[in-house]
This record gives sequence, structure tokens and C-alpha cells, in this order.
Amino acid sequence: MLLNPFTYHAPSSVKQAAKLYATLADVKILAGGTIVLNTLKKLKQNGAKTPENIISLKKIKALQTICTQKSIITIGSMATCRDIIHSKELKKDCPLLIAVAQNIATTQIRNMATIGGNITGRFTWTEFQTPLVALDAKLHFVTKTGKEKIINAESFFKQNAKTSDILEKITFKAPQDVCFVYKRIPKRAEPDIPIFSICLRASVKKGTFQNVCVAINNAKSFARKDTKIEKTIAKLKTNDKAGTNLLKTLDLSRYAKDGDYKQAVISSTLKNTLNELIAQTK
Amino acid sequence: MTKLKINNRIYDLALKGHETLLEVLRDILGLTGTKTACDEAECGACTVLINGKAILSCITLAMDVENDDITTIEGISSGDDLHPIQQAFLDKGAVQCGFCAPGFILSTKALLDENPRPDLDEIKKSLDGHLCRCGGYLKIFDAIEDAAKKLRNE
Ligand SMILES: Cc1cc2nc3c(=O)[nH]c(=O)nc-3n(C[C@H](O)[C@H](O)[C@H](O)COP(=O)(O)OP(=O)(O)OC[C@H]3O[C@@H](n4cnc5c(N)ncnc54)[C@H](O)[C@@H]3O)c2cc1C
Repeated sequence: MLLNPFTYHAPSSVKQAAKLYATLADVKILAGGTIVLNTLKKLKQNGAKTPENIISLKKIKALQTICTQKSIITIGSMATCRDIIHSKELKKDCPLLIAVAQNIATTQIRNMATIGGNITGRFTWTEFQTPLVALDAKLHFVTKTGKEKIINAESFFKQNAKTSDILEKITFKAPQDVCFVYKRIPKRAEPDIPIFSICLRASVKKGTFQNVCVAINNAKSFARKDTKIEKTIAKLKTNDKAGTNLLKTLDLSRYAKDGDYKQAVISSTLKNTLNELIAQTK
Repeated sequence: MTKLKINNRIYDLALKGHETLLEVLRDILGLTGTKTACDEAECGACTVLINGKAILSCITLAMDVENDDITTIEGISSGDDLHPIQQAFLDKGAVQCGFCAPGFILSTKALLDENPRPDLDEIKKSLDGHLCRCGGYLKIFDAIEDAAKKLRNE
């Protein structure tokens, strides 16, 4: 399908992009395009209005960087799933994100889709949400006046991922002495989008779980920490029965109605996630 | 003018900005080996290579790939000699209606350029973005294993 005409802008720096964003009316940011281009087609199909200006971030090379400096990992918003999968820094310092990226969509989409688009795309189910919450990541935006604005990933998703700024990069401390497990339940056989995803972070000391974080995305709302599950896990002993014991006291009715198959899927995923984390620490 | 480098040839094009790469390839340049099918990033028929990586031309703006190396199915044979992957698809009967074949072949090229000895799981994973409505997947996998061997001179 031919797209409705728009004016294409390709700034070469974030500053330039922010300036354009501030001055142009009726404007949309374009990253990898896997959501934007499909949306433009759907809007046209439905006879709806499409933006007059597109600001493509593709030519801003600085936004593609992935690096670790003084134990702080920085991922540029234009890093693609593929960049993440092949990053030597992440392989060494944060393999969790590689595991997440590997499961997203299809090869071609992974080659195109950026982490920035995944975070700001405002689909409740997109998959970098839970790991970034579990990593206590910070999102660095550039405002229309060119100033930096830093928001904690958890707060950003609590505010329903709304922004009128440009996401420049994501930073977080390289995890040390903690384990992470990420699990996703796709709608159908893979590849498909998840109906539920979870990222569990914890360390194991003296037979107990410490530093526990449970970030959950039930696809109906954006990712959140579940403090009730975190507290329950923190009280468990780290033995082979931990997963089963977790389920004994847990009320999951906030995610799916009692008796709903989704609740069964969620509880078995929780159990498996915890057991996998224990296995990692052995 | 926008400069697009397609199959090692430079095209100077007067683009307006909203053209997808698929539209430029097929409707402006007549490179119709790249197919339009779902037009919403689901089927892989419009796959081309950008700097050796498989992407979907139906959701790529042509201006976004200015100065990149674009390879379409027309660009992988040498004159009348088919590329070994194309030949393997013919030899193994992996082309039924043929509509999905250009996309599959280009993704296979991207895979084998990076990993000359993929196992079956790696082959399946690399083709996860392609649909063949004739259901000819098994022969496609055979063809890829055959092409990989030929490219390794085995
Ligand atoms: C077939 C298909 C399958 C998919 N499967 C999955 C899946 O399994 N898991 C998953 O998580 N996602 C999936 N997605 C969704 C999507 O591809 C990803 O979420 C992707 O990461 C979006 O990134 P993008 O670079 O393509 O974003 P774009 O489409 O370019 O942009 C998405 C949105 O983010 C905004 N934006 C982008 N970058 C910035 C920035 N730096 N600053 C401010 N705003 C910005 C854009 O304005 C737009 O609103 C799928 C999509 C398709 C088409």
C-alpha cells in the first residue's frame, strides 16, 4: 500500500531531532518502523488522518551504541534487537537482555526493531519492559528544549509509557551477584506476541532469596513490580519445593479470574521461573 | 535526489520521502522479484538484504536506506548462473508456486553468509519470518542444507 504523503526529516544528531520535534506540527518519530509504518498503513486504510511530518532517527549513529563504562551499561535507543543479541558487552555484562531480544518476533523484525521503539511504542505487552524494571534501568529522554530528563523505567511504565520527548538511551548498573530469569507465554506457537511475561531477579544467600524483584507484564497493563509475590518469595527457603510452596499461598486473581486457563498458565510459569532461578544458583 | 545502491548499482531517484523501499523496487525500478503479499510485516515475501541483513521492505522507508547496500533477488546470481542457493531450491523442488521463494532465498543467504554450517534449528529460527502458503517447508529446509554444503565445497 502507498503511504499518505508526509515530509521526511532525517536529523544527524539528537539535538537536531529535538529541535525539529519542537518546531514541527503534526509529527511522528520513526525508529525501526515496525510499529510506525504498519500504523500509518492502518490509519490510511481506515480513512484516518496520518502525520504530516516524520522524523527518522536512523541517521543518528550515536543512538546505536551499546557500551559498558565503570559498571554502567548504556544502550542507545536505536540499538536493534539484533545489535543486542550480538553485543559482546551484553554477553559479558547482561545476558538477560540477549535472551529477551532473541525471543522477540521474527528474524527480519529483530533486525529492524529498536529497543527505543519497544519501550515507547505504548503496546502493553512489549518485551523489554519487565527486564528493564527488574534491572532498575533509567530512561534518558531529550526534551523538546534539548534538556535531559531521566525517568526510572518502573515509573515510566506506571505512567503508561507516555512521553512527548525523544528517548536517547537506557542505562543501568551491570548486575552483580544476582540471577535473572525471563519467561514469556506467547499467544500461539512461536513466533507470536506474549500474553504474559515475567522477569524475576534474586540472589540466593544462606538458603534464602534476597534482593528479590518480580516484574510482571500481563499484557493488559504495562509492566509492574508485584510486591506481594516478591514478599512471598523472600520468605521461602531455596530448595526444590520453593516453586510449589510459592503457589500454595499466592492469590493470582488480579491477573486472571479463578478457573481461567490464563491463571493456570501464570501459576505454572511462576513456579518454573522460580525453579529455574534456583537451578541457576546451584 | 536520493541515492540508492541496489545490487551494486547506484540509482539517483527523485523521491518524496513517503515511499517504502518495496514500492521503489517494484513500481519505480521494476525489480519485481521482491514480492508484495501481506504488506504488514507478517509473511516475509518482501524480504531484501540491507548491508547483508534480512529486513522487510514493506515497512522500510526508501530514504532510510540511502547509502546502504541493498540486495534483492535480482542481485544474487552472476549473469545466467544462478546463485548456489537458488540452484539448490530448484534441485530440491523447494519452489512450488514460487511466490515466497525470493524472500526465503535472501534470508538463507543472510544466514549462510554469517553461519556456513547451521543446524536444522538454526535454519528454522532464521526463517521464522517467512510463510510458504504451499506448505513446502521440508523441501526448503533440505534445499538450505544442500546449498550450505555446496557453498562449503563439500
Ligand atoms: C509482526 C510483528 C511481530 C512483533 N512481535 C513482537 C514480539 O514478539 N515482542 C515484542 O516485544 N514486540 C513485538 N513487535 C512489536 C515491535 O516490533 C517492537 O516492539 C519494536 O521494538 C518496536 O521498535 P521500532 O524501532 O520498530 O519502533 P517504531 O515503529 O519505529 O516506533 C514505535 C513507537 O515508538 C516511538 N519511538 C520510537 N523510538 C523513539 C524514541 N527514541 N523516542 C521517542 N519515541 C520513539 C515512535 O514514535 C512510535 O510511536 C512485533 C511487531 C510486528 C510488526
